Amino acid sequence: MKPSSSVSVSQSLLLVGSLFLLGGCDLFGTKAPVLAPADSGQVSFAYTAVAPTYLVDFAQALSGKLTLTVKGAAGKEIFLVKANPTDTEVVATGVGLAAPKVLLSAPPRAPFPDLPRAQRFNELSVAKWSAAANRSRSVSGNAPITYGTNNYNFNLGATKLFHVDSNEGKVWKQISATLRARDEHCYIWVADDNYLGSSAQLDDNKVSSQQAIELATQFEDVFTNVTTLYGYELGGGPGGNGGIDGDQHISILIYDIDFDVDSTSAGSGGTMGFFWGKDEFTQAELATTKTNLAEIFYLDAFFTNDMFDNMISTLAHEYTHMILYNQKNIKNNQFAPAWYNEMCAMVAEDLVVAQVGYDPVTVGAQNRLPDFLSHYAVSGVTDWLAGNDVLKSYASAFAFGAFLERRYGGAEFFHSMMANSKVGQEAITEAMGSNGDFKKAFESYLTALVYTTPPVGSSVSTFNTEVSKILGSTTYVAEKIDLWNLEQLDDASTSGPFIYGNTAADQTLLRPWGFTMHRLSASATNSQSFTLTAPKSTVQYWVMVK
Amino acid sequence: MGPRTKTAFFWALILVVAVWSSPLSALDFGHEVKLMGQLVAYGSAPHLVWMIRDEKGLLYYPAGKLQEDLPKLLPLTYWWTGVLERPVVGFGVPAHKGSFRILHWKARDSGNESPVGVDSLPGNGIISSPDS
Repeated sequence: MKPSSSVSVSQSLLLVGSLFLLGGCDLFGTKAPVLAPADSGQVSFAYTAVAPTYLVDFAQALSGKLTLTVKGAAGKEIFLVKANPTDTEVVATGVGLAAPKVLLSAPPRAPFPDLPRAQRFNELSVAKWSAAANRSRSVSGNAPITYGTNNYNFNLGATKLFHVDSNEGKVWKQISATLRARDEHCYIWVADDNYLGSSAQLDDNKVSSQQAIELATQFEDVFTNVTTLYGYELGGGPGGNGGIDGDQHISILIYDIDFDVDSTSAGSGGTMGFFWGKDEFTQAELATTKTNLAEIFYLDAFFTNDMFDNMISTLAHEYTHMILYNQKNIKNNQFAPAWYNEMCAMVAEDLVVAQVGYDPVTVGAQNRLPDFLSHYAVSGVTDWLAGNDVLKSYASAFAFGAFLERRYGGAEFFHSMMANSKVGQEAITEAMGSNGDFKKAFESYLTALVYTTPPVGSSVSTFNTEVSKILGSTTYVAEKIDLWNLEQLDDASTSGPFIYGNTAADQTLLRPWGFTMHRLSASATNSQSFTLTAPKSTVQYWVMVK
Repeated sequence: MGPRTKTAFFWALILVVAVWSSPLSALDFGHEVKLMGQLVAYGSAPHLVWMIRDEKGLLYYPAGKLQEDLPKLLPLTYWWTGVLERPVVGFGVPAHKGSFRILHWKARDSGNESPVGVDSLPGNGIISSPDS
């Protein structure tokens, strides 16, 4: 909104006054104090501990310029966070003249929790989803086999053929696997090509007998924690019919996903595991995709063997996808955007890994935060990028999820979100209730990125807080995260989020629900002024005094 | 023109206006349209369905081989030109306004435009492919 004529009079007076001032600086100059140029409007912000942030009102800008005066911030850092609270990216020219920042690529062979490629899955009709939800029993027609150790469909040593794909879904083949372990809630199938009972070598792509048994044991803890948090898969839970296979035990198939060990494509990344909803349907309901007719997810043999601890979080991750598929796709015919789906899975890692005795910082989703600190601007909250950039999307989605955990009630919040009938932004808004909506959460998220210790009396957020919630008989703890003490992926000598510069060349586009962080100055004086160039109208400028 | 005829004419007019002013009318199917939007992924990796979401939030399904190729585009907003077809009825993709047989696209703020055809996808100066 442009200033009214009455405002213009007062602004004119300011302009006249400003003619007597000397000096100035470009953009957000670092000299202090900076004096108002002749064609700027003026706004001021008086810092207090209760209100340490300020949303710049560009309505007062003249000729696209605004002079911002920050008062009461002596001895404190002044940050500027440029934010894009919309579904569409803002090009660089909308946030200032900019050239994209050159970013380093992800390291080779970085493990993905899911396959790194995209693939169509378009055979299933809405009616069939509904049919899946309403199946009274398994397609086998047999009475359901419930959880437990007294009733199994398969004996140890049983073999079975599984359909798996290669060449990015273009080729299907069957591999033979053997049941190597089972427990109250799971079957552990290991592809025969990837099994060596006594293997002690960590890079031979062979899973040992002991590893299979240990994985089954770990899944029992994961199962209890994830189902209490999110609910059950199709046919799971008390009274469940066992889903598509009429068996409540979850099948886990370990094989060399993508058959990429020792291949030339190893440098493009590896896949730790995946869940694929096609297995919830009969072959007659599918076209070219092959079903394994089971509540099943898949783990990579190489990573299970070589990085066993990390596979514990992968168990929670993939099992969450399976549950979400039931809660959202099947029950509510809702298609979750990828960022939301992955966020829920990574939050499960964050909340569950510690419960089962592992460190959420090293083997849970928190190990993605260094990537986030370096590359947050590349992938906005609601983005899902392709190729190696997908690692930045994982990092961004987790950071936002970790914030939601710590701001809005930890496990209870995510439990509520999974139980509602919405997905994505709407699911978050519904779970927030009287706390606001997705946009408000995004704005609060921005403050959490700046503040390690919120000023006393303020309502700003922080990652650096522990949230403990009890669901059922389980206590879930979202542990403190001190973002400003974590090293950036691309620059281990720098901690905290990457800080963009203030020259024209430093500006970069803002992704949907994305942001860039800038440091205006460390203020030695009580009053400082900055000249701001008005951005595109949808861009927010948040000034945060820390 | 009698009162009844006038009434019928009035409602017919309203219907025509409503159809023409709707975000996407049946009249658009089979015709070339141009829309601005970006690629959005649904599902859990890797089993993603890529959709084009326009600035009004409406979804379009890029059909066929484009499902595999379009994710190679930079995640920017593009002008998409193509023939709009009826939504893929009964398929496992998010509810959408129409499927889209894309002819070409260009970055919103670029003067360049992609050559026509899917085969031109990698490395045409507008798009960036990890494979190129």
